Amino acid sequence: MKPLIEVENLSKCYRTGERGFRSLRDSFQYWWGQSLKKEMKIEEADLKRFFWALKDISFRLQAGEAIGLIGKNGAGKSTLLRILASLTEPTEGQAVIRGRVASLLEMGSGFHPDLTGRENVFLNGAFLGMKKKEVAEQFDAIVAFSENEAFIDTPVKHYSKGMYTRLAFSVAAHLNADILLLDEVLELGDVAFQQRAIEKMIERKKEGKAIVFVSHHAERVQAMCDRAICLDSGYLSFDGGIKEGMERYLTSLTLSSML
Amino acid sequence: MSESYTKIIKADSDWWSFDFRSVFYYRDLLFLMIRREFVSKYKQTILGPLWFVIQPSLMAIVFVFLFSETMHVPTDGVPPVLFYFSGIIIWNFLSSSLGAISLSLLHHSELCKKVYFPRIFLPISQLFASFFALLIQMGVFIVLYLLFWVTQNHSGFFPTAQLLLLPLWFVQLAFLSLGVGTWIAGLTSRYRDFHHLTQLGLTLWMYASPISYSLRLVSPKWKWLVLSNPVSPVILSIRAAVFGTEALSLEIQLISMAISIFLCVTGTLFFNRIQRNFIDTI
Repeated sequence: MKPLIEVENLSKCYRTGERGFRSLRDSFQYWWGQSLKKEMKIEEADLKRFFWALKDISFRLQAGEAIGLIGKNGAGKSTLLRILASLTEPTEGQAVIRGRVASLLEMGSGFHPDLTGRENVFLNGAFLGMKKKEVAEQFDAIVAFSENEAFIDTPVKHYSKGMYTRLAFSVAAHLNADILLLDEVLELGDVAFQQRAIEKMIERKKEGKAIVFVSHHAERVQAMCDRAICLDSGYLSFDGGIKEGMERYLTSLTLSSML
Repeated sequence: MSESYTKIIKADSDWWSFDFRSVFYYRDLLFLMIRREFVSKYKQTILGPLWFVIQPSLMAIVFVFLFSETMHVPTDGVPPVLFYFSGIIIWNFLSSSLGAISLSLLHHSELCKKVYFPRIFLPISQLFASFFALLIQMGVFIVLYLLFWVTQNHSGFFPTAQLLLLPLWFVQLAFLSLGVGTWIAGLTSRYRDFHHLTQLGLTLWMYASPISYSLRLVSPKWKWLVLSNPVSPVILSIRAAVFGTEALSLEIQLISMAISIFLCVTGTLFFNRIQRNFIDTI
């Protein structure tokens, strides 16, 4: 069976500094400055303007496999998730995605505070790639899992944070997508709910979903993932067993704190 | 099972590539987004959708007092309330949808950083939400129209067969709003200057459109200026069809239609190009 995700030499470059225009005036000043400095050496300045958030990343992910993306802040984890979720394009390389992707980079994407829980379940489900019919079929299960039955017709702005998170996660847990991209979203809610959320995700993995999971919580990553991919300043520094990957990451953390 | 969803993500500089497949796949979302836009406009109000009627009614009343009662501006033999109300609701559709579309990328940038969906749904849902408001306003207009028709013994104004072209003119307005709106949305995502320009531009554009005046009042020297504005032929044609006032030549109508289509196509393509990477620079 072909892998669900096939990433080949993926790189993402951001322009920094001068190119971070906010207004037209800045832009004109930049062009003006450029045209004056034409004879000057601009190669050096050019190099500084580019920042490679990801460089030459390659890996494959099979159905039923969960990988933990591990790395320090700014290592490129979120950038990689954003590219896999089609939120932004890579600068070089490509990723082949075979299946429906649901990006759970936050809980309750598309929730509107004025709409009721019921309306938001349909809206959020649709934003995550579900058809109306699919949400309708799962609706009772979603509401039951969220334990919000009594408030399902109340606008979500009156919900407590816990209720909101539970409802949002319930939608996410019942998605039909083949690939789930999770970015530290299981860190929300109380401990009991987090436990249920992890169990639910492990269940989905066993059903054959592929999961990419970003978290700084070592215990949770190890509970859910079989494999680790470590990112270090945009480079892939390790691809292998979750235990070894986590150890490497933790050692690098202690090393850098000692220096 | 998943072969049909296979997708290749790579750097793509092709301006023309448009992901129709995902638009079709996410069609349920579009309906929900339209509903969300429309409903959220009047949630937690006592009067609810009545607000869509109150605003143009008050504007029309002000225009009647200002232009008809005070300045005695003629309205082509049409009852002033109907004359102004018709112009105001047409303009409102354009300005409210265009204003919302021009901010659609900026206002939804957080959402766009989190989930994928065809970004073109952002402007389209704004367009439809404004269109539903227009439908409600049209209902009120029809009631007013019949009231005047009966009380004035149907003298002075009458609908013509051109009324059948009404949907076409609405489509033209939609093209225009989508075209200009997507251009500004794309530009605003990079340069905030365009947001300030939009507000100013819409106000000036309103005065350049025959909403509070008829074309007859414009001196021949400046008629070309009013008519080169692609909104003017639409307003004038709709009024001609509804009230039987002087119709425009087909040539002018076709030119304004061509301008609207051109803006719509280029704006959508530009928007499509910008949306691919706009979360990197927003």
